[in-house]
Amino acid sequence: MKLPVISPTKIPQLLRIAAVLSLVGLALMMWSVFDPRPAPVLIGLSLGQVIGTSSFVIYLAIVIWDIRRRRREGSTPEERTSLSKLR
Amino acid sequence: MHSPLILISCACAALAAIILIGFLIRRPLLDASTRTLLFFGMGALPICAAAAANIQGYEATQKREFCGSCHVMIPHASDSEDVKSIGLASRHARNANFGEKNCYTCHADYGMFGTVLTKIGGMRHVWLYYTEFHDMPLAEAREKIHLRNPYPNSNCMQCHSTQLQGWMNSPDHRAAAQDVRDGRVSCASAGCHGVAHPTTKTVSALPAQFVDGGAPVLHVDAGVFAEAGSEAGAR
Repeated sequence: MKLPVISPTKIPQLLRIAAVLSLVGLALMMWSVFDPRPAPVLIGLSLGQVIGTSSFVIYLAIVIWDIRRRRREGSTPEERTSLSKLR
Repeated sequence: MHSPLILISCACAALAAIILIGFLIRRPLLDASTRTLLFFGMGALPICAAAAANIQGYEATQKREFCGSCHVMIPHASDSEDVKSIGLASRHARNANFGEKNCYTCHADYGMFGTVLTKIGGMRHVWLYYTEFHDMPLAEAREKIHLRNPYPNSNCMQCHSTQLQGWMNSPDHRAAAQDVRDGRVSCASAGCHGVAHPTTKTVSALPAQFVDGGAPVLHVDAGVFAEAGSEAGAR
């Protein structure tokens, strides 16, 4: 299967977006816990979880993409730490 | 705040937030340890928080406080909480087996998919509330809001089987036993054990025991239902 094109320099940015999405999802879920009325519960347990799941999917996609890229390119020690050079 | 689910959900969310905020502020190298931390911050801990919040949310949606949080349901919830009310809902709410979940216990569908069907019905209620009834005055809502389908006796029969001798000892029960079981005669009809929510009815629609003799069922939201009071005076 062809790998989607992700620029390695975009990875930290994508992870930061995923982290912010995760925080937003958590905030919505906590809103439903502390304010158990219909709107917060519906929003927290639907939109909140969709946002949280999206962030986790982004994270997993990046990790899987990196693993597959390393396998395809060969796993020398330098390549194994390819992501670790990024901030 | 005493539910362990709330504590678990909060603890997981707080830990995840610490990891994520730390990642956003410090911007560490994306090495294996950072990725492991992010796995907990974006995956494991939020999933735990969501699972606990889901169960807590499900529990919350069963409570009378939740049902009464829409203003059109305040009379129903207030009547249930009124220890002096002789309405069917209030009498059941005083039973520990129903308690603060009396709305859900009586209105939930039973059977294999009962909970799911009840929740789908609840979603419909929320939709209708926000699209039609949100700004509706209580007096108007009382006229317009009613059960979509007749209240099923099968819900009553989950507890009251209609098979025990004590139930059959009542001549009215004996006479209408099959009709009750088949749903042709409602347990909650005004002539039998109803009405369920007297504060939602106009005084003229209430049976005598709710009006005569100073039965206190209409003191709830008396201001809102002022016209009901004047109706009572004329009666």
